[in-house]
Amino acid sequence: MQVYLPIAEMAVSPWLMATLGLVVGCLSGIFGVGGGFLMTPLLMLIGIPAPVAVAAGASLAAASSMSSVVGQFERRGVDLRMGLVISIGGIIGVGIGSLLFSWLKSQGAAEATVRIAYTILLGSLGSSLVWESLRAIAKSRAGGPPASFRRSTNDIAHLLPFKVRFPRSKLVISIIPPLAIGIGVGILSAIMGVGGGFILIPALVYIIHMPPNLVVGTSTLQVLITASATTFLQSAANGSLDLVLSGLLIVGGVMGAQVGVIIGRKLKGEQLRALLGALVLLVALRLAADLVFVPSTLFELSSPGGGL
Amino acid sequence: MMARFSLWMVLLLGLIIGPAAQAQSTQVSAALIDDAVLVTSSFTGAKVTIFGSVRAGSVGRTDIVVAVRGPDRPAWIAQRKRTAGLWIGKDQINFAAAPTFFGVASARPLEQIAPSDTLSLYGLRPKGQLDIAKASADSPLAETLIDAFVAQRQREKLYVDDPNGVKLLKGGLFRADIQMPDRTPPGLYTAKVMVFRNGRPAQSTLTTLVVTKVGAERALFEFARDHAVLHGLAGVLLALIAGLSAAGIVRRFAPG
Repeated sequence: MQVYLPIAEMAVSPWLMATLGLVVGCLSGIFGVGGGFLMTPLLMLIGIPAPVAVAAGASLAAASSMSSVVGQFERRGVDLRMGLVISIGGIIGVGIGSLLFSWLKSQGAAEATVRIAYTILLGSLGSSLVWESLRAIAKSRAGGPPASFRRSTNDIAHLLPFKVRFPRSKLVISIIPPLAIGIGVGILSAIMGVGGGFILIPALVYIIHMPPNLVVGTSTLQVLITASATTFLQSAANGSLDLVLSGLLIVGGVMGAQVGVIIGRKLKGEQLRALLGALVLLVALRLAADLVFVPSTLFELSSPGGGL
Repeated sequence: MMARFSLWMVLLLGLIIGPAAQAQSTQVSAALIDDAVLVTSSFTGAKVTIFGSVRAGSVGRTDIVVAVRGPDRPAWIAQRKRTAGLWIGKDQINFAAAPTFFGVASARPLEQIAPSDTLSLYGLRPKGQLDIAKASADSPLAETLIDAFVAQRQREKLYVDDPNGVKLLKGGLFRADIQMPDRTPPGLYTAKVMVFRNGRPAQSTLTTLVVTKVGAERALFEFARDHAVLHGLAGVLLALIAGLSAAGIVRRFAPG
């Protein structure tokens, strides 16, 4: 069976789409990431025009994060204030990123610079995540004290001015680091076209020193806000949101997110970080492979309809 | 209904005037079985069928070539390139207009019917139909990229060349089938029937068909186009409500 997509102007298998949604939704539930870094390239591989793929990925991320954030709120696993501060930063960041992107584009070899920088960033981030969390796991295996979560009071978040209380996280820190993290993630989203949840999580852990039980929920909230805004903007500005495609992905995605939350609850903080690190490393390897190996698709074409 | 009727008229006319016209010149008439292709939610492509009749002298060989061409749209192709050992950057050329669909059917390979310059001149080759944008015309890679563009669209079955697409029936009647894929976009399509006598174009006739979205497909497409802001809000709401209800369902059946 095939279903015709009115905006993408092509037919797809609804089962395949729902399965893709299920897998990506599950990741979203476990880690609190949007999954755009997986979804968009997969959809493009099937032949869906890039703008349609981006909009569909965003709407899937909005739905799966909505699905999982409900449970996170009930378990008091979301720092609402922190999530909002980061999201405000994110919106500012998207604005800066769009300007930066058009400036970089006018400078010629900019795309190359961005892609190389991104690969290196993800590579080092992924490997340090894996390294740190494996050490923490080994430590707790060895019978030592449970990996204590370092909550120093003289790190960067405490030294900067404009202190704000985050009661849920039991933190009184400067508002600058969370805002800056939000801006950084926003700039990345605008330039790379991904949500950036997998950068946000390590930032929450290592820079903000947020309690581990709040990290996934707060990141999910940020994904929910960013993905909803992206979905809306893609439709309003480019007309590239295909409601039929979104519907098919979402049916699988919201179910996958529920499964993901259950899996995520069974994992310890350091196990979660090790898995996330492995995922980030995989993405970095894929990007590196794209840079080094002869691409399987040497040519890229506009969609037959020509509109997108 | 109209299409069906005109089809019979064509066939009838062919039978009546055929023998009379034989002595002077080649005569061709053709009609589509359906002059509208409806794109519904289960659309996976369509077959366009043309019936017609041809009257030509008995000396030499008569060939019938049918071409169906979709509406022109702007297009581009980019080739990724390697700089300093890394696959970064790309070369792109733009087309001011390229046929979205280009299907040719004949009873034997086109190269055997007429020389290639004739085929190009009479618009039976997709390559000759591409209108490259001015800014891209001087690109040293233009030739490579145009060939790659045609090849890719052939792989996607948007540009097809079917040497078995035309069936010659008895009494100068013929039938042509051209398959359009699901990705063929809506718009006004032109069908051209050409008669070749001994490798020379002798006669041709044109007819049109419409590919159009209907029902839910049309409603959604027009909603997205005419009310972009509302459509965006609907998309966000759809996502949020779906997420909420999934969470609600799971909580009801699997508490804790």
